[in-house]
Amino acid sequence: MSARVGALCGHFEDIEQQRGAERLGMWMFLATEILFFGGVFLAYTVYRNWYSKDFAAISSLLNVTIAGINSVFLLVSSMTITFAIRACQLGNNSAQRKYLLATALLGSAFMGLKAYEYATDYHEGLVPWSSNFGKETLHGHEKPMLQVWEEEGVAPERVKMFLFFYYCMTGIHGVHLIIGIACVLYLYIRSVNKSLTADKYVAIEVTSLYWHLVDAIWLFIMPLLYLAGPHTTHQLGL
Amino acid sequence: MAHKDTSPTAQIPDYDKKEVDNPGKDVDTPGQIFMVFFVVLIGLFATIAASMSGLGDKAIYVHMLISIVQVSFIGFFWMHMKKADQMTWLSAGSALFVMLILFVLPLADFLTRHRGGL
Repeated sequence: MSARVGALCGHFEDIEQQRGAERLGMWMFLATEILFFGGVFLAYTVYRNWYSKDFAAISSLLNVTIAGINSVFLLVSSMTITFAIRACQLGNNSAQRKYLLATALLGSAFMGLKAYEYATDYHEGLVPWSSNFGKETLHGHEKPMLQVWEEEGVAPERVKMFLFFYYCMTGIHGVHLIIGIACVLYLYIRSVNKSLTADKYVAIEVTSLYWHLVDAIWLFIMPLLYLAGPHTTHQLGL
Repeated sequence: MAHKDTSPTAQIPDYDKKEVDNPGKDVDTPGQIFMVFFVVLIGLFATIAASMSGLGDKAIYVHMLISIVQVSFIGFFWMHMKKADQMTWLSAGSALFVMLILFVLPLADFLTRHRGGL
């Protein structure tokens, strides 16, 4: 039997068949991920429909600016990982390394901002076990949120339900992103070692499939959680 | 007239012919990558703008519509569905179909009740 190209494993007839199998394997995994997140989104849909006023009230207190910046980080990272595939296919190792590093850094920046946002939320009492959800300033007078909500008919226990969803959905998404960052860094190390050559570009492509899915899920999480209530340009610092 | 080669060696796949590999033959163009980026970025700004437009409870429908468009672009171009084989389309389509069932059956229950009617 003749020699085979470096990336080809013995049980495949040719390299395209192997690449097809690798892509299909990742898509099968993504299918399970879609169903996993689908269950969470379904539960959120039901509760939001039941407690729309309560969910809108607490959603207005979340930091839309950070969510918006984080969205841009993720979208840019999705673009850079697509450029990394292109660079790998064209055999441009230098550009491939830069794009992979940029992807990992943008993902890390997302997680860094998320950690800052969690810390801010914690200090403002936006946690499911809170008994005090901060204060609202109106005409220079501070008023406890609980008192404001009581006047508006918003139930604190339903607000806690929203916060449970908020931490659950963003937390699961964050764990997925951390796994994605680890995978991208692994590809970066392989690129530095020059072992991720053009014939093995599918390694970046299947990782990018996962990365794009995590990005796509965020594109649903962001409006569902952060934009559930009415917002003003003041909340964006405009 | 040429005779078909029926010898045993003729049945062995010629790996050398199949191994002509050119990974750079079908790459995404920078223009296409940027086009998708700008579409999803505009979608993001439109999503935030919709929440400030006074649509109230109706804003969610606009948000979800924009998100679906954004994800469609990402899936079709960046996830390479446009050049994917039938098995990949079947896998992705099956996932979406089963998710549709996941949503439709429980929500149908809520639709038929007084409390929580959508």
